[in-house]
Amino acid sequence: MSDPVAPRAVLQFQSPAPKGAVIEIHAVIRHPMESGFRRTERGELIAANLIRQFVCRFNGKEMFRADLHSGMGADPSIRFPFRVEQAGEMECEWLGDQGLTRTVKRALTISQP
Amino acid sequence: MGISRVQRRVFVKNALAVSGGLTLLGASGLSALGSQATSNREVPKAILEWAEGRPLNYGRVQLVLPPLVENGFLVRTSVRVEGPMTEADHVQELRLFSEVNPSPFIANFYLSPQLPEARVETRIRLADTQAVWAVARTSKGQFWCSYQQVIVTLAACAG
Repeated sequence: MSDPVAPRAVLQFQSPAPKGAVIEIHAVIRHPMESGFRRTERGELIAANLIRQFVCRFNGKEMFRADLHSGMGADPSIRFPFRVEQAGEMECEWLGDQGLTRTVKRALTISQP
Repeated sequence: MGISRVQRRVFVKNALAVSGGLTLLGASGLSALGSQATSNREVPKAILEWAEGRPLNYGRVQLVLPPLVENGFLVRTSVRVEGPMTEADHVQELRLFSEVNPSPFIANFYLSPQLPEARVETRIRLADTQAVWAVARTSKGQFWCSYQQVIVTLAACAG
């Protein structure tokens, strides 16, 4: 991805999944998470460049949200459990410095028994 | 006449079993002891500021980090909070704090009661050997916390 405003982001989970199952939602975005505390060799402070917020919605309803700070590692990865009740659309959104905004959507379907 | 050899042996065996059980209790986290368990480690200022004087309970939070890492750039971290996830009573907020990074803030997670369990896995950055703290706030306004010591052999200068 050459466009710095839209870095590569991945949203992964099991789909189709059986109704009632607990699946893992895994969201990762490629980002340096520059903390703002590092210095160049000449001693100049490197400006912070962070992903500040992450939101995950299912069928438009917020399920999970995170404020990310300088203590998060580069290429922030977040994994959390989710119970499959109905089919729908999972949407993850990242917001960050330098106008960064990135949204990834993925359909969750129910597997037939 | 004092206690027989056999009785004494049984006594010693029972005593060992009891102390072994206590050790297991300690290893399985402080959750079994609930709010009675306290810590003598100094609570980071950032946590006290968030709690605003409300009591911090030790337990319910299970924080899993490697005890020793070669570098602090990406440290796998997993937090789980025991307890219900219902509209009336659930873990609303889960925060990670660092003791010695240039900034104590790592991440704040906001959970919906629809989630089956209060659990998050991520990768954090550690500037040096320290304890990482996880603090949960329930919808009833209770605070639960736990910390985990991590030895960092090569520090992440980025915190």
